[in-house]
This record gives sequence, structure tokens and C-alpha cells, in this order.
Amino acid sequence: MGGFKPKCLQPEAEIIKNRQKESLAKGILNTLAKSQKKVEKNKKDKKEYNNTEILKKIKKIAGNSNRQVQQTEIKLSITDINKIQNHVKKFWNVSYAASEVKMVITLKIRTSVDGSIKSVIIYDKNLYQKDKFYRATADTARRAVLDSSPLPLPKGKEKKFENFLFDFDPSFITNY
Amino acid sequence: MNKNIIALIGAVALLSACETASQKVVTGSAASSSSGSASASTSSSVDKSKSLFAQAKQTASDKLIAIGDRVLFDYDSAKLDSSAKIMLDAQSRFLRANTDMNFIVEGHCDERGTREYNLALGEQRATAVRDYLVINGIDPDRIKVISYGKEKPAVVGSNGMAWSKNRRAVTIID
Amino acid sequence: MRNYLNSSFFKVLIFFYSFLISNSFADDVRIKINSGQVEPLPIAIADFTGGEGKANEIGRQIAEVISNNLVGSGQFKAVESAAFIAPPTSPSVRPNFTDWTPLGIKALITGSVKNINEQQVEVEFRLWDVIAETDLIGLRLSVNEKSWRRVAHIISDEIFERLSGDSGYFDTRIVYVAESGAQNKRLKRLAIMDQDGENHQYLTDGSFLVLTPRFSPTTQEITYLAYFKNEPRVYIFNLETGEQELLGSFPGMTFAPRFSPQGDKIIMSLAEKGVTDIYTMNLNNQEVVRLTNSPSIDTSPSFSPDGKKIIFNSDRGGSQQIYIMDASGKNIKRISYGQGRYATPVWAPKGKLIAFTKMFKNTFYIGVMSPDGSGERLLAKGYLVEGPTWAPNGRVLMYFKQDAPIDDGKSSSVNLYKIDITGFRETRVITPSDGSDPAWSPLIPN
Repeated sequence: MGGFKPKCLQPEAEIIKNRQKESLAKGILNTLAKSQKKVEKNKKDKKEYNNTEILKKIKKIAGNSNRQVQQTEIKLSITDINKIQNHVKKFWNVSYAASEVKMVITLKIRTSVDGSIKSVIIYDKNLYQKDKFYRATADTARRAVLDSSPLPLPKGKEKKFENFLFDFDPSFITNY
Repeated sequence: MNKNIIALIGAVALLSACETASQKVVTGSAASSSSGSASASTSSSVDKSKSLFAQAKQTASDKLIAIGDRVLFDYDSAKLDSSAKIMLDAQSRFLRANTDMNFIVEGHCDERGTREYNLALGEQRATAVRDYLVINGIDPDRIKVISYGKEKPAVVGSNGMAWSKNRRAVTIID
Repeated sequence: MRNYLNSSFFKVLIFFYSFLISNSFADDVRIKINSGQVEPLPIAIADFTGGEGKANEIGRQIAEVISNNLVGSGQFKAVESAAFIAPPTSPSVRPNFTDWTPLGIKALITGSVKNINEQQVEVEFRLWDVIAETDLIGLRLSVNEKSWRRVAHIISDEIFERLSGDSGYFDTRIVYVAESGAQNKRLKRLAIMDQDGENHQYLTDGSFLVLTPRFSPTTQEITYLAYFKNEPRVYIFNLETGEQELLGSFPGMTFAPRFSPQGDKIIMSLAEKGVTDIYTMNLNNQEVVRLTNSPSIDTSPSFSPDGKKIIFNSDRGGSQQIYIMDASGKNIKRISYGQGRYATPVWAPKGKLIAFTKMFKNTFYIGVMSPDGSGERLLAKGYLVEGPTWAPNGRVLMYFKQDAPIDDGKSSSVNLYKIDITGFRETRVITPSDGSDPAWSPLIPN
């Protein structure tokens, strides 16, 4: 006993790994329970939005007819993507210091049909261990995803989001 | 781990070192030169026990103040204007008449500048006065210059009048 | 024609984008998130639990110091502890995260203090990510109970670094000039304290005027200007021995000293015969090098962190402005081109910004800009604000602020303030009496 014990109670890397698994399992239950109510409410809004706004927007952007939109329905539209982007970015609260991260942070996501997040995994484990700026910023991205559950998945295309990737790009942080 | 223990003990020891430092400090002579206002030096009562020299110095100081011990400067300037030169001509006569005394020219600034720049500006002002006195025949070895920057205002105030009185060079007897 | 081009451009874009989405990564959807907020992170700091008596009190105080540190950085927002439902009884106990999420809390700090013997306590903490439900870092320290403040600062630095990625600045000290008495007969003493104003101590007794102290980046030394025996000269004060040493022997006033980034040189001004130029003095071999040679006032020099450049202020162009030059004194270039006068440039420890004092239309400002003079941002202003000094991570500035004196000759107060360069939260640093000329230490080595 006595003196400084350097840093962690266990090697830091191990704590993080072990806890992550454990906590994510727990976390899903929580977020699922939480999300049910929200989903219900969101669904209504989304229907209306789907029917009118989105079609209008796509038409405007693509300068094309209804028919063509239907043809590409199995693909994701820009609107589908934008909707998710606009939703998640509201939850991404990041430190000025993320400006030191000169790359995108990739997260592997699994979702349920209702858009709730089943798991978030920080893809580059090596950088997460080595680079303190990357580590802190990846944590902010992970919190953003978990906080944003459930995601506004495009109707009928939920299957595409069973497994997908988020690329968090902190390069918008400038002048700090 | 041992290394770390030493480190923290070291830090604590350092703190106590500081404590003793405050007592160990070299005590310098309190700033004796009255850089301050003229009224301060005239009103100070002459201690009976003062030496004859000190009394003579006091008398000379009073005389110098009566002649005019200070010149004023424009904002951010160390140039002597014509009224300053007339004043320094009178000072030169006094300095020539008191060859047994040495002098200090103190340069001062108003508070509307940064500290370090004002130290330099005060030195320029004091030097301007010194140079003028030397041209008027005063032995340069008799004159020391010192700058106080904005550390010792003659007048405290946040208006143009106060600031103009603080932009000064004051000649005092060493 | 234009419409046609536009619409076909968008078609191409859509095609390309969906191609990326469907094919780029093993058929996975890939979505880029390239905007967000830079806002204070809501955190909760539970009192460190301590069983009975003194340990408990220390635990409460440690939590308070950590909270003040983190909130004061501008990067964190502490949720009132009154809102806590059931703080964990020990840092090794996994918190019930659902108690914390409704409060909007993203990170939770728990800890404990235990008496080991009469003098020693063991302090332990854990930082939890409430959203990911995982712990991020933990630390256990055994220290003399009198060092609890320092432990609180070390823990604050660990938390700051883990949550932001950047190093903290809490285990640091401030040296400054403590002022008392009427403004025209000011008593000025060198004083030192922790970054948050605690552990205050005087280093000189006020029998001689002292100005502009600055820390060595490498040793427990301070360089400053003292009017010892009424001769204004640069001195070095040793914090370990309490001794002060005159730096060199110069014919005129030496002032505006700062250490070089390696701590092996002092850069300063020498004023002689109405001319102020910049010099360096090597502390190992006493070698003096003159860097500028002009009839103007060249002063307030500051090295870049890599030691290759020097910034300073000069009136060589007519008014006081900021200039940059090579460490050799060559290639002098003006960098400040805004309105007004610019002064006291100080290079940030990480080199990306310089802080300065600006004077414009009878108001003083503290600002930052790039070393090339671009991107000026003014952070604080007042009747007189002056002398910025950087926290070691380059995120917070400290300076002093003086209110306008009242015209009946009464002195106005002069105080230390700090401001974070992200959120511009200006807070006063409480000192026993008035204070000016603050200088931030590097992180205390341990």
C-alpha cells in the first residue's frame, strides 16, 4: 500500500473491453424499454412526412416523376439518409479537442426493426487504445448513437439497418 | 511506485519551502525616492535627528520643487515641448549651482498603456530629460535615470487631466 | 439550359451516392455524421464517500474541488448533487445508470476516501460513461491527508483528459503580484497559489517593488522584475530555496523577462539611453545575445513553443504593434493589423494561437489570434485588462482587470480573472488582496 498507483485499478484496456460487453447487453434493455413510447409517437409523424414531404423533396432534387422514385425504392434515398443524419447529429456533443482527430470514427451499429439500437461497437480498437483524442471522441460518438435511439429508419427498408456503419467526422470543429 | 511516493512528498516539501521563503526574503531598502507628488515631500516634517546633510537635501528638494521638478509629456511620447525645455533650463541653473549633489530623473507614464511598454516609455522620458540637462552642461555622471512606468502615478483618476499629470519626468535629489 | 444541367447533376449525385452506400463496405449501409455540438458535457460528481469523520469531510471537499475545476474549464456542466437519487456507496460498485440518465447526465464520477493511518489516506475514483454504461478510467492514490487538494487536482486532470482527449491544467500553480495600499503608494509582493486560488503564499515582503513574474517551463524557478535597492533588474527566484539571484550585469534597466521553452535562456528587454531592445541570456554560460537593434521600443518578447520564433511588441512603425521574428532576430515582420494598439503577445503552449492585449478607443481587450495575425478574436474587455497568460493546455487564459479609478483619488481594485477560449466564461480568481501580472505554471511534475 502507499504511493501513487499508476492510473487504473486494472489495466485500462481490459476494463474497457470487459465492461463494454457487459454494459452494452444491459444498455439494450434500458434503451429498448425507453424507446417503445417514443417510437409510437414518432411513427405518426413519420407517416405524414413520408407521404408528402419526402416525395416532394425527392421529386425536386431528382427532377423526376413518381414512377422513378418507386423504382429505386429498395435503395436508400438521400432523404432516408439525411433523416438519420439530422437525427443523430443533434445528439453528438463533442469536445473542442476532437479537432485533433484527423479521420472519421467508424462505429458498427445493430438496430431492431423499430430503429432502437441493439449495439454500438467502436470499429478501430487499436486507435481507441492508443490515441487519447480518438478514444475520447469515439466515446462521444458512441453516446450520440445510444442517445439517438430509436433511429428514424425508412419504412420498409429497416432490414438494411440490421447491421450498418456510422462514420463520425469531427472535421467540422475548426477555429479552436 | 516508489518513485511516485517521492514525487508527492517532494511536492509537499516544496510547498513548505515556499513558506519559509517568505521569511527568508532579502529585505531591500524601501523605495526611498519620493517619486510621488510634490505635496508629499513638502509636507513631510523634518525629523530633528536628521543630519545636517539630510536637512540640506530637504531644503534643496524644496527649492527644486519650487523651481519646477517635473516636465509633462503627450500621450505615448517622450518628446520635450518648448515649455518643458524652459522648465529644464531653470532646473539646469539649479543643478549647476548645487554641484555637491547628484540627481535622479524618474520617468513615469499614465495607466493607459501596458506595463512593460510603459517601463520602456518611462525610460525614454527620463532619458530625454537627462540628455537635455547634459546638453545644458550638467555632468552626465551626476544624473541617474530610473523608469517606474505606470507604477507610481502622481494623481489617481480615470480622466484626461489625471493621465496628463502622470505622463511626467521628475527630477529629484539623489 | 441551366435547369437541365442542374437536374442531371443531381441525378449523377444520387447514383453515385447510392452506389457508395450499397457497395462500399460489404453491402453495409454507411452513414456519415459530420456535424454536432461543442457544448459543455453534463456530468455528476458524487461526494467521495468516506465512512466516518475526517475522511468523509475530505471526500466532500475533493468532490467540490473537482466540480469547480471541471465547470471552470468551460467544458463541463455539473448537475446539482441535490438531484442525485442514490449515489453509489463506493467507486467499485457499479452505479444504477438508469438513476442518472433522466437527469441528462452523460458522465458520473464516484469515489471514496479511506484512512490508512493517522496521516495517510487512500483516495480512489471511477469515471463512468452513463450512456454506454461502462467505466472509463479509475485511479487509487495514497497520500498525506494534507495533500487532498492536490489529489483532487490530479483526479480532475485525469477526468478532463479522458473525456476530452486533451490534457488538463488543474494540477498547476499561479505566481502573481499581490497588491495593497493606495494606488500611488502601492505595496507589491510576489505571491504564489494553486490554480484555483488555494494554498496562497507570499514570496517577497513588499520592501521592494516586483513586477511581471513568469514560470520556468522546466524548473521550480520564476523570473521577474524587482526594484531591489531601487535598481530595476531581472531576477530569478528559486521556489525551493527562496533565494533570488540577479540576472547578469547590465548598464540599464532589464525587464519583460520570459524563459525560453527549454528553460535554458531568458529573453528580455534592456532599456538604455532611451532605446529598448530585446536580448537573450543563456543561463548556462551567461552568454548575452542582442536580437533587435532599433531606436524604437521593442519589448514583451515571447518564444514559440518550438523555440524557433519570437513574438514581441514594438512601436517601430509608429504605434505599438505585434511583430514576429526568427529566434536569431532576423526576418522581423509585423503581424497585427487590426484597429488600435497591440501588446503583450504570448504564444500558446501548443503553438496554434497567440494571446495579446489590445487598446482601442480607450478600452482594453484580451484577445487571441493566429501567429500570422489572422483570425483575431476578442475574449474580454475592460477599463484595463492586461497581461494574458496561458494554462498549459492552451484552453484557458488568465489576466488582470482593473476598474476605472474613481476621480476623487481613491484606488480602484485590480483582480485576476480567467476565461476559457471556447465558451468565453470569465470568472474571477479570488485572491486575499488585489492582484495583477499572473503567470501560469506548467503542469506540476510528479
